[in-house]
Amino acid sequence: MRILVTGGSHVVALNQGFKQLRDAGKVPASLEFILRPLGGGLSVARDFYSPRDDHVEITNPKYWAKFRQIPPPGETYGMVAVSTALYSRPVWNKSDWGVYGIPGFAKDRIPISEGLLRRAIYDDNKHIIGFLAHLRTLGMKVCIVEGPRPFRHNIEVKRNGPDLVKHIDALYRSLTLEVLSREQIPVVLVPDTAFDTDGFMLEKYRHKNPDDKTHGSSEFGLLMMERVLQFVQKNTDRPG
Amino acid sequence: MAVTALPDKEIDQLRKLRKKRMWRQLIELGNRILAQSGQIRAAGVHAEIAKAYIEVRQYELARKHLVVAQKLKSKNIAVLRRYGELEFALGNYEAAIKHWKKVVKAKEKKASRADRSLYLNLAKAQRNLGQLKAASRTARCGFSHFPKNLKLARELARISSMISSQTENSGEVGDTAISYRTHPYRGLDSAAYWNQTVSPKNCLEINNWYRKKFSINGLSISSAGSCFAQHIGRALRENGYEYVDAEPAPNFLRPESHHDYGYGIYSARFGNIYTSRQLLQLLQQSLGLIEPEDLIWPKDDGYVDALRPTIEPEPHIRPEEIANSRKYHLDAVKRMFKNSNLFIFTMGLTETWVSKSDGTVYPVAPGVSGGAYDPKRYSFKNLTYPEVLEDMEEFIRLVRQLNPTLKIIFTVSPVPLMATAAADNVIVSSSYSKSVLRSVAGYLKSEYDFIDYFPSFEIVGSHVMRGQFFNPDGRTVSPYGVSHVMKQFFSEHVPPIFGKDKQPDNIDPDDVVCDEELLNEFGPS
Repeated sequence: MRILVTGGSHVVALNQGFKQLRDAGKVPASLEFILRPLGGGLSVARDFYSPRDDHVEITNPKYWAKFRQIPPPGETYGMVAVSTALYSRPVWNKSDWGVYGIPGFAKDRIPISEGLLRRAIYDDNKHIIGFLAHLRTLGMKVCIVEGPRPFRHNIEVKRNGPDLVKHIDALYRSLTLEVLSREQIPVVLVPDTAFDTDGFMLEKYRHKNPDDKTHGSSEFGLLMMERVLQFVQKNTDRPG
Repeated sequence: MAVTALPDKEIDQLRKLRKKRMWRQLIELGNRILAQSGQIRAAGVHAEIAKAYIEVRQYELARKHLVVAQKLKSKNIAVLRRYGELEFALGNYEAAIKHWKKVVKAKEKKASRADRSLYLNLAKAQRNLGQLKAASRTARCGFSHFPKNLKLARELARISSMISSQTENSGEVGDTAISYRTHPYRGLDSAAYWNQTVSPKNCLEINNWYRKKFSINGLSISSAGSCFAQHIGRALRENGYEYVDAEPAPNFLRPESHHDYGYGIYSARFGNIYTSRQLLQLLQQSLGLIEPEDLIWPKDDGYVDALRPTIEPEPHIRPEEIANSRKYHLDAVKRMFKNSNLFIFTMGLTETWVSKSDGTVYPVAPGVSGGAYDPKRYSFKNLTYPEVLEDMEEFIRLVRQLNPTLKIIFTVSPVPLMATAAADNVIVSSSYSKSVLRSVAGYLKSEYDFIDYFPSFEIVGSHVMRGQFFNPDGRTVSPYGVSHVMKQFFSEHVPPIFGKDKQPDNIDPDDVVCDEELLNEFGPS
């Protein structure tokens, strides 16, 4: 079976993890993994595709170097795994969290409703979920591969406050998992062993570049690709 | 380059183009002449080019040429004239008068007289500034030199009637005005006559709907009103006016969701304000003068703000969210009124629902978007002319106490009622509402020099327009209609040339980081 692993820049860590698995001989010959990103992370939070009868047309020119359509003409995928949709940073990292506050975090801030935060969350991942839902209707198996959750060292966490970040991340996760469940899109989750007691990602999974606030390390990639491989092996015989 | 005089025939060519009003050709020829020839008489060429730019409303380019011309020849009469025309076009009447008076003085020194258009323009500028006696003197002086000139006669008549309406004893000026007209309907502006405004034209060619009472250049503008008001706010923003937004959206909410949460529609998150009573109530609350009792309505599994029930698409989970949000919102409203130079209000309805306990009015009937209708607690009210007038005058009094220099433009929404509770045909009820509102707006304009009226209602709804600007539902206004209305507005209130710089696309530096990460791993695309 051919498995496409795509998404934003978190595919980098997954690719590094995959290479380790492959070099260790852990990838069965029956499974052909293609790791190819669409493009830079934020763009998948905007409208980037158009559904067609037998494929998804990619409409964002930024992605055309990698894909014009999925699946590409003449190719098929048994499964498409996308490395985004559970990545909450685009919502909690914004500077306006110093100005606006949801209930519980509104002291000396402009009060906003929790409903507004929920909308911000839905807006952030609606396109990628719609993309996967359409691929499902074309008969492909799909899944989400969870991206790295907040790192304690992230300067944005310090700026906006770790409690607020954890609150938003938790809400983001629970709402998105609800939607994914409704759309029957399974998720390969980051295991609980990857977090510290406060709920932040362990340092070893942090990108080696100290200035990188966003990406996981190759260890993180290996951790997740092991789980993706398990998931694929469990689901190869099940219908999409 | 050798300095050579510009030949007469080239200057004549420019003048001919000016008389034929062929502005683009004039600009082209003028620039060609300047490029080829030297500096002698170039001031005149620059002045001609400036005139053309003024006519095509490219004011900054006009000014550039006048600056060059003035450096070449600072007292050139043509340059001073054009400066006057530029300032007049920009609504800077005092500056226009200053320049034109210099022209008149310069001509007097040469023992010649000013031409008729100079008298006419000077009189208009003085009239616009409210200097009616000076305007009258200028117009009379011009008329004495050019007794057959109809435009001067009309201008004089107009000024005279303005003076007459200000004083009971019209005196010498009134007599003089009347002596130039055999009856009061003679010599008026063409807009006053049906057979000049409507009969000979396609209705889309009617272009003298509105004459501004004051300039809005450089003013900070806020707006509110019924649903039609959204178009006005948007058009002002898009055309570069300084539009007040007292409650901007947070940057973690996507732009496509802003309107759903009441952001970016009006100058604050008040939602639609349909009636005079609702507007007054909003101001009174923001000033801390009243505190309505019934502010939170249950809806589905949550709660809504009774005075802004549709400001968010989903009910609030907790009632305290509403109280906190209202407090901030009212502070923002007060700031909005205090910091604006101009407030544009679109009047929509006279029908409203009122709390029997404290007189609070609601934008939506209880039960429609939250709450429940209980005839023991709420009653229907169809505001009358005296009531709407009283509300608006109280609003004006309070808002001018807060901001003594605030100007106001009223307009009446052409959108009829969706439904009436007045036990009448909805078309008939609409006619009542709009008539009352239109009458109040007209009265307020005539009473206060800082209040103007813009005729959106007439431009869309008058029978001469044949209903073409309504959508098939016969109620909502089409985008073409909105565009036509705003075109009339901007023909008088010419948008700033250099509006706010278009904000660059919101490029997140993380996009750059992500792209670099991909490049490092997967190589160039």
